[in-house]
Amino acid sequence: MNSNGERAPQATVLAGVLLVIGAFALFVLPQMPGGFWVWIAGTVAGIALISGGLNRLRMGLGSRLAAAVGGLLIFLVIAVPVLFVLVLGSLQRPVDVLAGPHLLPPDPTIASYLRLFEIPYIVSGLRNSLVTSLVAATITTLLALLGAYAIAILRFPGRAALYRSVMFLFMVPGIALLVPLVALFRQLGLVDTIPGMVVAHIALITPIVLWLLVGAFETVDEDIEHSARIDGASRLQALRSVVLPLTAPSVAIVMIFGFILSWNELLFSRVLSVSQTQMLAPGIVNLMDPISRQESVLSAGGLVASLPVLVLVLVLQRFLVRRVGEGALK
Amino acid sequence: MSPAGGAVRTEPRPPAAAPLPEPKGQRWTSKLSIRAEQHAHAVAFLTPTLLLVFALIAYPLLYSLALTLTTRGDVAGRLGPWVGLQNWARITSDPLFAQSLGQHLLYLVPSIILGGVLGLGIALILHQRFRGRPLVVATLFLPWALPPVVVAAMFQWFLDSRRGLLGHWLLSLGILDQIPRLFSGVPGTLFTLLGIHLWKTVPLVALIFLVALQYLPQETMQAARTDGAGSVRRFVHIILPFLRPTIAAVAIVQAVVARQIFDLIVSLTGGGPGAYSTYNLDFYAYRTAFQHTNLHYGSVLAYCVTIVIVLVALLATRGKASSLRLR
Repeated sequence: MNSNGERAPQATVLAGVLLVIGAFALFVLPQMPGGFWVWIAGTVAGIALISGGLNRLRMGLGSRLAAAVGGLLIFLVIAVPVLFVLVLGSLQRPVDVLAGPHLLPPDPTIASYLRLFEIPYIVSGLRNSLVTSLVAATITTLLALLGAYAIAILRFPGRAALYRSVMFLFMVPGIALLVPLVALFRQLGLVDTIPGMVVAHIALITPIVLWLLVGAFETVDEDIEHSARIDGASRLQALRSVVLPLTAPSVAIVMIFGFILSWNELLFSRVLSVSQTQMLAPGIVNLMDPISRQESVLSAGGLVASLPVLVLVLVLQRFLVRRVGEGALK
Repeated sequence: MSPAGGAVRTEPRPPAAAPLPEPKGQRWTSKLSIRAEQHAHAVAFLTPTLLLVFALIAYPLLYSLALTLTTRGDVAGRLGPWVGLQNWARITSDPLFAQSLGQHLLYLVPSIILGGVLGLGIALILHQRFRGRPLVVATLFLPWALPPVVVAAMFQWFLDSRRGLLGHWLLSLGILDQIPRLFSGVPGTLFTLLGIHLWKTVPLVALIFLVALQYLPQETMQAARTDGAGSVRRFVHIILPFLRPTIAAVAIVQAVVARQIFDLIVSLTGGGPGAYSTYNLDFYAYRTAFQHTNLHYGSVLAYCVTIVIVLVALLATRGKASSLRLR
């Protein structure tokens, strides 16, 4: 069993191939009788092979090669649809789309983007979504900051209960919040207004922002905060001059999380915007209307709608990937 | 939570916390004990956050509970006459509720179990060092970050039976002799949505596992290897027990993130094809509350979504929620 480097790479490569085929087969197999169970069995077998193969050896050329092949396959499963459908698809002409699937656009053009920005609800959706998400992420982070600091660092009666309720808040689904919010907003006249949209998005992202902030502050060594206090700093001073600089990257990440969550939200935006406050995500759904759908314009819209998020993820990665690599992420 | 900390239940602070000379004048807090002072600060710091949570989450949830116990009044959204548990009783005789709940679980259970297994497999691959690893790890953020509607639009084209690339490839490779129609089969479409959902959520699961694997006790692994424990035994006896809290966290994250299935239903199927074949509870609650404007029964359904998530959390942690850490 322990003949290192002999069978493991082959097993891992095989498992990786199975994984990829399994991932794509998921779309096809369930359509056939009993296919879903074949898929499950295949996945379990693949994972068993992977874990067996990979853990047999932790070092050595063979396993590195095998892991690299596995990594490449994971990369392909994620990147292929994004590259060929979203990016290259948006450069096709409608005629080419109708003519059938093309790997590369036969006659690349940015016409879809020009067409996209002629659609009023996309343009206003971009503007409204940007405003809503920015304001909501900022306000939520600011309001949750002090409370998260208290829950993470201060000692007071009821702290444990608060800590647990933060976790419970995280589990409240959007729909459970939205139904009463709409009922209340109708009475307050907040439906279909930008302030109403911002308030709803704040409600949406508060739980996760609060939880992540508590997690971020927890990593601060209590002693550091403490010694700042001994040096005569007030709580607020300690927070501002010691804790915040230490956790600034984490707080920024939390704010970015909040922005992304709000930007990606469909349910709240769709229900609360009737006419005045078109948002981008429902706009993309409008583009998917089966009668008037133009795939290349839709891809262009998808790419535009993903752009702010992709930029932020690049920023995030500078922090997160490095930490994943170092193992310092707590 | 009284600022005058008469009722002291916290552990005593170390001596370093003894009263200090105040640098500038007398602050009002300097007259209180250190512990009481900390309580006072806690109250001051917590107030804005608690107000936010109460006004925008706790109060709406309570209002929603009141909605489930009342019926429609003169104005939609106002509380009408009380009807007791009538709205709750309706779920027992509502066939569409039973169907939505069943399909809800048909989405949720595989996305937790399959999603967890796939994510762990990917994390085990990426736990190795190889050239290009940072790029692959970075790619994992992509499906997580993309808006669900964009993912839906992308796969709508990618999986299209006439214009989609995937069917085209499978055809030209000779794997299939006919391109399947993935958005019109009656049980099948649900699994198509599930597949898209897994594509979107598994990378995040993999990232969570990958982070946890960094903390795997290397000495134990090394010792087990020296003692001749095979890979399977190391996996079962060291890695899996070590990952137990992470597995619980992943189950909860998947249960929470399952709300994105709503986005897929809205943008890809509208609940069809056939008779409600891709409905889940979120979507049924949405239809009831906002398209049939029955906020009362809609509240009941929305509460059911919450209950499912809480049950998953209780199952995953076996009631010990405190064992959880996400980051």
